[in-house]
Amino acid sequence: MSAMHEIPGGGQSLLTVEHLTMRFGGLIAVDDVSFQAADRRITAIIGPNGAGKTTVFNCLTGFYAPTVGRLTLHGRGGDFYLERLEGFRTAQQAGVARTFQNIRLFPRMSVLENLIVAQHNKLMRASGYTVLGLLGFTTYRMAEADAVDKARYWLDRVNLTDKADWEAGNLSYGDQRRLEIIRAMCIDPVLLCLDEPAAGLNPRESAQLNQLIKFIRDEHKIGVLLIEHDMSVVMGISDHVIVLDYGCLIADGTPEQVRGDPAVIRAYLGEDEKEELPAVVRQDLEQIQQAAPEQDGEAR
Amino acid sequence: MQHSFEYFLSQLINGVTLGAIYGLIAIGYTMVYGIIGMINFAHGEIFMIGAFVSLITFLLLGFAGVTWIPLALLIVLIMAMTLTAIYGWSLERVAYRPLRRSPRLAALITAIGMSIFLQNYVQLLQSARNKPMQPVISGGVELMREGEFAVSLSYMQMMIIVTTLVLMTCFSLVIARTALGRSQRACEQDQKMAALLGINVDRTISLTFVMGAALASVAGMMFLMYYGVIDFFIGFLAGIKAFTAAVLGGIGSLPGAMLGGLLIGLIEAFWSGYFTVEYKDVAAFAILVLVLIFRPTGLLGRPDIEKV
Amino acid sequence: MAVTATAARAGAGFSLPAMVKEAGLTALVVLGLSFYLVGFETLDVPGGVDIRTRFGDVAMAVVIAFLGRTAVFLLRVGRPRPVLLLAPPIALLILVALLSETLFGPVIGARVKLLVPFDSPVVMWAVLAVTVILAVRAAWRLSHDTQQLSDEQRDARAGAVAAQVQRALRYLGPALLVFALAMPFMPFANRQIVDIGTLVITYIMLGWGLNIVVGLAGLLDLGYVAFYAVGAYSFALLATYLDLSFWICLPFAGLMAASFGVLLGFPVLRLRGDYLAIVTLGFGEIIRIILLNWYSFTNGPDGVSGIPRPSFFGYDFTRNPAEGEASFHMLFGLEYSSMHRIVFLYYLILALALLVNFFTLRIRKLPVGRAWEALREDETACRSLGINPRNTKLTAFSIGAMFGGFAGSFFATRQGFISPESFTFIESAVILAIVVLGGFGSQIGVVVAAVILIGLPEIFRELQEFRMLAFGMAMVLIMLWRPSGLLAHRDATLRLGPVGRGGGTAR
Repeated sequence: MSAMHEIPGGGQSLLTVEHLTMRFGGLIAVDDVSFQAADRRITAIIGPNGAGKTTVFNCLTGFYAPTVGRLTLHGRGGDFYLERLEGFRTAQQAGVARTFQNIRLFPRMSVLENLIVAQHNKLMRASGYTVLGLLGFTTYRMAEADAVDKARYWLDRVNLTDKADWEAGNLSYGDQRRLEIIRAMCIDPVLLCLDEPAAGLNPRESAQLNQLIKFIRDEHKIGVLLIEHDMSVVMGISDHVIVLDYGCLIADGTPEQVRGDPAVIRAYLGEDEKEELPAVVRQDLEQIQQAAPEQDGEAR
Repeated sequence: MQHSFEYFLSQLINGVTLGAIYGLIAIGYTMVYGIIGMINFAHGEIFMIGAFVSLITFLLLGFAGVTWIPLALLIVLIMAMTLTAIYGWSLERVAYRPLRRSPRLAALITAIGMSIFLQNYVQLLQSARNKPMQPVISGGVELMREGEFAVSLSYMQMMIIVTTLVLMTCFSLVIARTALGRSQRACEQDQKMAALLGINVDRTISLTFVMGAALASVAGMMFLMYYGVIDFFIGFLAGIKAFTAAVLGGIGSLPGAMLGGLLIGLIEAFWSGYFTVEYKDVAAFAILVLVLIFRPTGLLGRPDIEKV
Repeated sequence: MAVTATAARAGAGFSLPAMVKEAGLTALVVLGLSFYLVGFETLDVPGGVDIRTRFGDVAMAVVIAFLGRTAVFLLRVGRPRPVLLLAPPIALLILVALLSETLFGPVIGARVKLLVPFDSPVVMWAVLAVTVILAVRAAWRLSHDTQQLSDEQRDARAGAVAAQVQRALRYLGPALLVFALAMPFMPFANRQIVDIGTLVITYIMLGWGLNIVVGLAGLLDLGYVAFYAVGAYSFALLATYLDLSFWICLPFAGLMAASFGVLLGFPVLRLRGDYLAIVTLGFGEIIRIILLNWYSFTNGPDGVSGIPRPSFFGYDFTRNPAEGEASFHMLFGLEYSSMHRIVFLYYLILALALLVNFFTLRIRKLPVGRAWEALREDETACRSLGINPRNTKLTAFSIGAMFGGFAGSFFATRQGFISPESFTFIESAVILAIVVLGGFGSQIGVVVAAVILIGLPEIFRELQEFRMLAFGMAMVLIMLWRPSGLLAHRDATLRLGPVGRGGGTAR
């Protein structure tokens, strides 16, 4: 897919996914999916459970090696082929950060420490790969102070400053989710991938999440890729929506376009039931429905 | 060192015999790993206890004047399996069940602790010296002869191989056909669901340990009769090799355990026969390392996909 | 909680048949377990094995099991009174029997001793200890009347204790250090005591070294003794073949050990916990077998002897030094005493151990140390943050190996002679036990564990026999009681707010 193709919702291409296919033995989890995600835009990937959304994420972030496909990240300092990057390098070199469906914090480390660990690579260099740090050179101490400042900045954004010294495992669920997101931001990514960030949040927390994600898009000017089931989040803040079903891409457009797309509706709500019933049952059903037409909507 | 076919054949027979013993122990490892996902580090000691129980029973039978060999063997077999099974059961109840929800590290530490405990328990009670025993079954058949060198298949070797085959078949039938076997396979795949369906998970796990212990005790009895001498430390080495066998064959796979046992036995026999005896244990350890590095699922195991 | 406490007080849940059944089952199992291995003792006689019966011991074991389980049952259902009534007298009886010789004089005492079922006094002391514990718990239950604590509550309480110990360390740490420095000059310090101190500190150093690998990075290493051995042998061979001094060989030995750490670690560190443990165990054994059999290089089972002793920066610890050289005692104008070298060795290992400790405390505050701990918590999350798991693990592994190598060099020079016998799997297990029991990642925990596990059996020689048995049992008991270890407690390496404001929880 050429970069000249216009992306729904606008913007410059940040991520180009071409013919991504993921096969596990005989099971095809992702089947020839191609799309583009724009920089400084929020792109949502939606679809029923088992559609292959997290598999796409795992391919993008180096946890799976795709069977087929080219994943190009147009990042800082050039293009990165994500399908070729080894696990941790997608974060280290390409600048792709992610969160997980089941929150993965460092539970026995403090909130602050979680954020400092995220800035590992920068701090390693500043500590002269540990040697200078051991000897007490000031370059490391200054770098660590900067790291704490960055952590404090993000903690303030999500109102976690008071709990900075708490053990991460002791935070409430909503706080843990937010911590995971700001921890991902601490690696200075160009693309932030959020895997169901609103799962388990109540409406107020979802609204706060929306604010946070929009803030990240607008103030930090990066691209956000988002897997979600919560439609208030998807429709509320996305610029671009991609719909997967059974591993295939079935819709790709703006939220308004996708909302009315019959293929999407079918995928979520199922086929019209009448056509699937056996003939005898269908006849009976039609007889009953003819007898009481005003109850048609409730019969199903 | 001879390069004749006869030499090869006798090493082959040695290897198969040894492999049978390792295989019986390996089944215990693989079953426990399959059902609760932990390495029962103390399983080697269960094997050792089986050998000691067999020894004591043989001695008692000797004092009691029981000389008809088939009867003696039967009694020893029953006593060994029963008493060792109690050890297996207690091991699970005391050391492993309370830690079922704990991190795997804690369970491993406990297993190591139990292994050390059992080794020293037997050492203190029975002294650290080697315990020899008169051969119970001697003699054999000569298969072929090349000048001075004869390839023989001893009755003991035959008994080991036949017993192992019989036990394996019974065991496979139990796993495949009976309700217990089904419960076990269900628990292996999804414990919570099995419990929800009414399977008594605790009892299934206990029975798994008991069966593994029983098989290991038979291996202990065979070991005692074949080598004629045991001590409190035989569990350590045999345990590691049997675990290697289980991993080689594919941890969690029953046929894998037997296959792995056979392979390890053959490798050990051929290595001692054609290279050096001193380093034969290194061969086993080296295989363990290589398998875990290059093919951790083993030969017949199922690949493990980690869900992120 | 109040409702259930009332129910417990009323004795709900207590039924005599249930109690008898439970205790009876336990007794039956103990009978099955002990009948053979305890009941029959195989004696080595010329020409084979003989059998001796010890059914008295079996009977006693069964009775103790029955009574013990009954007591546990009673405590569990909230009827502590019977336990409180019976346990103290029984404990007293056992105590009297144990001390019978001192109390009643040798003749009557010996007769009383015959009443004591088990031959070994150590076992009886253990039974006494258990009885006392039961009595104490009964008293506690009676006065507090609470439901048994759940696992989390117990863990939380133990955690609070550990946290207090950690805080007390600000004063306790320096105090311990001063004590350790001054120990050789204290009135009770004779050669044996200083020797024991040296041994304990050697194990503390090994524990601190392994702590980096297991405690901080969470890599289960069951073959740590391999690096100890590599260090010892590198040092020994360098010193005997090339005639180099201690201070030159030491860094080389550490380097060798670290290289082995990289070599061994590189292929295996990506394996999961259990498998990594077994593989490292395999490596440990492989190294030992090679050392045992490579006669031409390592002298095999004969070992390497004639390893030079360390000198005080060039001044040997000999009574009569070589021509033109001064020895240590001359330098300071003291009478020659063999204690000088012993004390020097003590301070040497103390310095090495403190080096490891200092390093560990520093590295926790550096990115690599935090990365180790993060890796231990969740490797997948680390990967998602751009941390290279393989290199990070390798660093921990090889640094731990290096310190093990240093300890090995010290061991070689202290003994003057090494052989493969000293480097068995049991050593790895002991060091692991020290780390585990003390609490993963806890420096003070390692000290406590080493003092108890190494120091006590040395001081009380009768315990030697039971040392490994107790090890095994202790490992199991601690894991059952508190899987994270006795004094495990983690203080954050970086704080935003003042100390004391960090213990919040929303759960």
